[in-house]
Amino acid sequence: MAAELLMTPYAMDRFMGRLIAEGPVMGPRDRRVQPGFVKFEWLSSADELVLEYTTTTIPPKKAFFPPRQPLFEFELSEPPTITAVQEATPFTLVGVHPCDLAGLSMLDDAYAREPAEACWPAARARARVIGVDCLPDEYCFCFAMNTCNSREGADLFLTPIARGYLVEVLTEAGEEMLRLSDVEDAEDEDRSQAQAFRRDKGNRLSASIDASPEEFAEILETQELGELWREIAGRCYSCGSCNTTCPTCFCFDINDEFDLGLTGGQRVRTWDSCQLQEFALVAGGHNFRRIRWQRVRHRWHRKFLYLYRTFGRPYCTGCGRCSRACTADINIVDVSNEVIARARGRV
Amino acid sequence: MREADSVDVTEDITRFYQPELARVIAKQRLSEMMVMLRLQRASGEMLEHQPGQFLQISLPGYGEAPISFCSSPTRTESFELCVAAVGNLSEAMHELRPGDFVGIRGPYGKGFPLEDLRGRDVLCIAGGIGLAPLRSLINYVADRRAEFGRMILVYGARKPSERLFKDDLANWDAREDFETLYTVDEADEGWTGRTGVATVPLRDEVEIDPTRTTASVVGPPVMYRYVAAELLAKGMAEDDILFSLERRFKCGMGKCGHCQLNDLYVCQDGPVFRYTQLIGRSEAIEVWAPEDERQ
Amino acid sequence: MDKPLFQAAEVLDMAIEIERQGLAFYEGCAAARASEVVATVFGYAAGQERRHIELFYEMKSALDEYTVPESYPGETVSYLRAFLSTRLFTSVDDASCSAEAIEDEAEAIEMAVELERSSIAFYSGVKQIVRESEKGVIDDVIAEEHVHIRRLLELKNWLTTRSG
Repeated sequence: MAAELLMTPYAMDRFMGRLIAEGPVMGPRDRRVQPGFVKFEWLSSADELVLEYTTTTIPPKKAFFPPRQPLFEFELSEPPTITAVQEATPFTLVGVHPCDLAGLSMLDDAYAREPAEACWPAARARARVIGVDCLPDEYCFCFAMNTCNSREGADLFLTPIARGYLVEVLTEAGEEMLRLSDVEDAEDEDRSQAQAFRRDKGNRLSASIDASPEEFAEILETQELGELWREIAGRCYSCGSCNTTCPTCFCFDINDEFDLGLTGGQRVRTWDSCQLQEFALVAGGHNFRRIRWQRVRHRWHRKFLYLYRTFGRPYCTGCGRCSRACTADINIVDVSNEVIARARGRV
Repeated sequence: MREADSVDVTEDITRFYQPELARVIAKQRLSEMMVMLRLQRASGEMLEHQPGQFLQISLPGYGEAPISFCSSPTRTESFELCVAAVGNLSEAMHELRPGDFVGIRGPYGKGFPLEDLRGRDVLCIAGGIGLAPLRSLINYVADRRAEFGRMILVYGARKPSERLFKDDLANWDAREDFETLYTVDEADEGWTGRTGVATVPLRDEVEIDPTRTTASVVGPPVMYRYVAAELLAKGMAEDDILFSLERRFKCGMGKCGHCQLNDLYVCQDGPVFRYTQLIGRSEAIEVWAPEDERQ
Repeated sequence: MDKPLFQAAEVLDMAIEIERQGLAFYEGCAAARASEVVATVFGYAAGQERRHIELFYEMKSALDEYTVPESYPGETVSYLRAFLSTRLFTSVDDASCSAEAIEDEAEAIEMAVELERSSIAFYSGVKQIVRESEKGVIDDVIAEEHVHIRRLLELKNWLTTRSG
């Protein structure tokens, strides 16, 4: 059992201030142009941090897998020179919800699968992570995805209580961080309030998937549901928002960009989306997921069947971001449950 | 502010994304659309590859693309790639001259299963530029002839002028221990050989013992189903039919997602697949009809 | 096999090619045959093959315009023709040439019956791979080809009894 301590709001403020003074800290803060909407951003002061928030549009994976990431720089000399772009500064990621902790851990597994990718673990090795518990909205279904109490990869984990935060110390790095803070021993009352918080969270989670991950994977594997996918695709705009906001999507594109002088440039990795038509295009105009419904189906198959079979859990955290972001109001829970209902209706 | 402990990531990133330099040793034009580049690693070390594997080749500023090896690993001091002029990168590669540098990463993927092919009759069916990856296998068989049974090559090109590797074709044809059947779809005045697509001589002239033959097929997407139909009609088992699939690999290491074919990554699980692996996988559209193509 | 080897659009292309060959054969025979009765039966069959071609084109346009990209124009048709060339005729031209080369009416009728039989065999295969809603259309085509065979055999009988 991890050590549990108490941090008062005042102590938290001082702790964050010291962390920010020590090195870069990314955490949830109000969007400057859209107050009330929270995004993960580099913090310049402790009062910017918004620790109690519902969700962000873009998940915190961007701290380790930026939407646009230079891989190396090149100069068109003879021979050409290639210089790795390496970011080496340690940083702290604060305010990560349990579902997002699980999402980061899923990407750990995905990128570590042999042959292992390099940028992701390098960025992860630079960061300390502080999680925080949350209260769900109607889009959240983290209980169904078994991520609602995840502590994966967190060094410290905070649960809001009356006296401030109950702090779970999960790693040595977490303990080391606490040397910057003024923590007190937690009392039984603090612990029971944290438990009550988690119970309340569970009670508020209304959305759920109507089948176990295994049953859902079997349904996707064995049932031909072309008509349903066509119905969903009839509403989909193929905008790719579901991919962009997903904490477990990890596909990317790689392209070269010239500097203005045209004598050198960068090879750049960017987020990519399997919902865009060009994604599965091959030289010669061949496209093996040309039709929209094939791409919609691919998204479900990848998250709930292929990656589930490979890594032993669905590649969905239940965060509900894709449903919130969908311009066509395609809700991942509703679609999944419709898949399950139709499959069961046939038997 | 605490002094930042630098985390050294150079080595890892180099391994994954960063190309090493290779030098163009020779360039040969094979047809209007195709050139062959002979390359050598700038380090001078040998690049060990298997027939059917691919390499990520890049020109800084133009980007990176996957290309199959067309040389046999038995000839290792250098390696050869065939480049079709189809885009900015490949057109720039057509402009390369001996001495120029390119970036390379790889080799990647599963090639032809040489261990399984050993001792068996090797039937190669090439359509168009599909001869390039098969040349790697054919010359491997040529250099280790005693290790294999019959070597049969069926090659169909669109026109005589689009036939690749004319020297190799003549050499293979002249060998007593090779059976070659060449055809073109559109003959010209100088052409005295067969006309029609590759499936015609495959059906009418190739007699095989289906139990001891493995077929390796590389060609345009259109070709695969027709070749499969003819091979199955000859009594071949689906497991003995190998298809090489083309996808747009970005990373080559099963991460970027671009080559995902249902649950498989073509760059890791392929590009050479047994027909059995593709059966029931709807996104292998070279060999299977998509269930329904309406929007 | 639980999945079709060819996609529906391709199989419809095959069907169209087969019907075009049949049409060319019937038209060739009808033009070359002196007997009015034979010309009438062959002309009738030709008319139906023409309608079948339209039917198959309609079914094809009902599919989304899916084509496997060709590496050169006409590639698909080349493979298609090669695939079908084990059948009675290798091409439409071959069908009309055969029709012209035939010596007597009995031989023409036998060839026509053979052609219809192999078409029916092919369409029975086609039926397995089209959508449920289109199976009826294929059944109708098969039924009409059966009628062709019956009429052709009646015609053959009539010719035999007349000459005998």
